[in-house]
Amino acid sequence: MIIVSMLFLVLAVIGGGALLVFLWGAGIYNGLVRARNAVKNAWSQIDVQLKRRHDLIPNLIETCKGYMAHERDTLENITKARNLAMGAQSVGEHARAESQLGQALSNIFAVAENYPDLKANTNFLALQEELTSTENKIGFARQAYNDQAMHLNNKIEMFPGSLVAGVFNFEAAEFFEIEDAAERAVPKVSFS
Amino acid sequence: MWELIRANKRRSVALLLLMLALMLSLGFVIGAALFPVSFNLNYGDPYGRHAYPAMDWLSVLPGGLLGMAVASVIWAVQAMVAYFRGGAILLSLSGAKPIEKADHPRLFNVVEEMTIASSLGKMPRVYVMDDMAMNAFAAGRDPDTACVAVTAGLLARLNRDELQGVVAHEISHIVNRDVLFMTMISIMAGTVVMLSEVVLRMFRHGLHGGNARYRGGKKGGGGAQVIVLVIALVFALLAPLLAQLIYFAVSRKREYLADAGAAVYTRFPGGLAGALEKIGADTHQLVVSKATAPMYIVNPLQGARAFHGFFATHPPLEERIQILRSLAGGVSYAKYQTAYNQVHGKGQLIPQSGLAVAAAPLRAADPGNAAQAGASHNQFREAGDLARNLNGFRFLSCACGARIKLPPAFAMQAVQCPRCHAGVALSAARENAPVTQPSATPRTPPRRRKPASSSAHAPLMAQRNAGAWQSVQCACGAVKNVAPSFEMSQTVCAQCGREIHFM
Amino acid sequence: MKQPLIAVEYNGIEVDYCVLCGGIWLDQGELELLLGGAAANRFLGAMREGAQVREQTRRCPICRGAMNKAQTEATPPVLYDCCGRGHGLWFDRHELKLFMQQSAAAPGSEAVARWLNDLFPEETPHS
Ligand SMILES: [Zn+2]
Ligand SMILES: [Zn+2]
Ligand SMILES: [Zn+2]
Repeated sequence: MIIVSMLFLVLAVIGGGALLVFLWGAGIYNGLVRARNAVKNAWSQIDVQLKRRHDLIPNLIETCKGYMAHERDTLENITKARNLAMGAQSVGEHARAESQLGQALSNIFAVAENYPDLKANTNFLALQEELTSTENKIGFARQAYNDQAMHLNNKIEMFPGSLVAGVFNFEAAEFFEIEDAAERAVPKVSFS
Repeated sequence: MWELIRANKRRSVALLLLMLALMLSLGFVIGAALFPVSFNLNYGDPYGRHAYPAMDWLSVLPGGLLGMAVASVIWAVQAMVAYFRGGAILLSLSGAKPIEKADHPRLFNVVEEMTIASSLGKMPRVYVMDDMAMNAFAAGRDPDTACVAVTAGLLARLNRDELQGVVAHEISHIVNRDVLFMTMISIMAGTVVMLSEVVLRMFRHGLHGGNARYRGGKKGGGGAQVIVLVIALVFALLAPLLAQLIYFAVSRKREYLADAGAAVYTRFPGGLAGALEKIGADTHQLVVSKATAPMYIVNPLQGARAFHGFFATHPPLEERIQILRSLAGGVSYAKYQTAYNQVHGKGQLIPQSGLAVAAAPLRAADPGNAAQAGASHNQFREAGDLARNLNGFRFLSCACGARIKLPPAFAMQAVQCPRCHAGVALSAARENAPVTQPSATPRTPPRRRKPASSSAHAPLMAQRNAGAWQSVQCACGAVKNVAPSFEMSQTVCAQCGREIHFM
Repeated sequence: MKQPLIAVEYNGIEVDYCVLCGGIWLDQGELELLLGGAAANRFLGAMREGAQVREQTRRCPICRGAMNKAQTEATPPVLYDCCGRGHGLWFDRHELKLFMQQSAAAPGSEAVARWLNDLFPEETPHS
């Protein structure tokens, strides 16, 4: 009788302990999943902004065409960079094409300073604001992505997350190479 | 960043508890002083009293508990109102009005940018206050109910980076849950002040009016009652002071934290610094009540540098600017903490856990800033027109190029252009189907009714004047204002739901 | 019947205008935009010189305070009203015409006259 009840007690303690460990593990797992989803969300935010940039460009070309007769090359460069970015396959190719597109865009806004009529066009001004903002949003979205990726990676690497992450195959997120501020500033300095 | 938010929350809870303790003990002391209850059956008999001295101390309990209960109820009622309606009350007190993206695309974009940078998740609603003074505030108890409000004066004078800095500061308040916390703690401080006021009034009344109740206690000589009364008096004098000290210290710390957040989110501390410089140099005064003052980016009740120190809700502007300006070679909370220590002196502003994150590189200044400095004229005009739109002005355009803005109290429907003397009328949206309808469209008198589905009416046509605010009168009589940046080809009448197409 | 002032903008410059009497109000903020902050204050300060004239007092549309009468130094002098707190200037219709004809001595008044000419070309007196 005593042995049986002792056994029950031991079983209950083990069972309770196991339940606690399970709940603890589940909590960590949920935290990891949340962090991974945050990384995915941040990534999709970058995609949203890149797509927005692609969508704005035909409009910009259309508006500038009438004013910038001598800048056909500059305009064509943008269209080319856009097509390249939209058709890119690999991640590296994609990144290169997008950064080229960014360069081409800052170029055209620099050149636009020489066309006062264009600068007075309300449609152009609206597009300039939208593209400036989209450019900013891409930058901020990348930074936010990196923050989220760091958060996830820290969880995966550090105890106790590392235990759960190992079992469920959580992979560390890759970081985005944030462009150097100086590098970004070079083409823009010319028109300040 | 997440560690920082969590540490912030812990500290908020601790401060709330401290304030709560202060409030409850004040309630207890007051209750004990006002409602002494005797457990002694032989009350009034000196021998009976001295027989059970311990009972004397027990007598403060019921009154004290009652006082605590009253204090909690006073606080709880206000807290509930603030929790559920606080944002709406603040917005209506400030006269802020919601705007759409077309009303001011740049402000909208900047709020969106900072929402992304702060990983807030949901973009706060955007409000504009019709005031040429420069200020901004955030409202709402959590990111879901959050809003950001800025004055028209701010939009008129700040460049893109500066506006971004101010918006980032406000978003930082939202991320840190400062709005809810500051509201709750200010209500507690308010309750403490109110209770003390009651006690002091009672004492004055008691001393001058010669209320027998208090004198009776004194005459009794010794006893708990007198001590309780003295404690109550001291408490009533000190508690509000203490409450305000806690409140102001907390408020100032939050401002520094929000500045740090703004620097980290924008990766351009010069933006907020520039904005604060302009705000400090501004001579316009915003009209606000004392209760809402701590919610603003700079305290609107103080002259820029009138008084700081312990009783200031906001830190001195120069110090905030100096800290932001000394951030170089990247931004992070750790760098802000270092700069804070250099400028302000000792003090842990940011919890240790928030300092671990690596510094992000600085962003280049917005290239449009230089161009914008020259076009400040237009920016001023835009902000003024936005404020007029919020106030119900109507906008007319004359063929000679003059733009005419009619205040809502202006009774005439059409005016003579002051420049060329031609008659100018509101541009009208008319039905464009002469076959089914005779040329004269019957005008239904303007009256309030539910917006009907757009299919009930044929779409109306209107001429669009690009580059300016334009008022279009719908066939139902309602007037719809369209921003210069409105680029869509159609809109909907807010009163009757008819579609208005632009030609 | 009273009517509030309406705003008229032309070429990015704005004045407040009374449709009943044709008078115009030059706001301090507008003068700041036109002349710059310090110059606008100097202009307003110089324009504030008092004059002893018997004419009905006007009230400032911003602060509702009684405005001072002032006049230019040219002959014949142009009469106008000026808010003592520097909120702006009020010109009656005929005053405006004369003001545009002869720039006052105040610094910046030439620019203001040019601006008014641009805004009200038909008011320009043909001399
Ligand atoms: Zn006209
Ligand atoms: Zn309608
Ligand atoms: Zn005045």
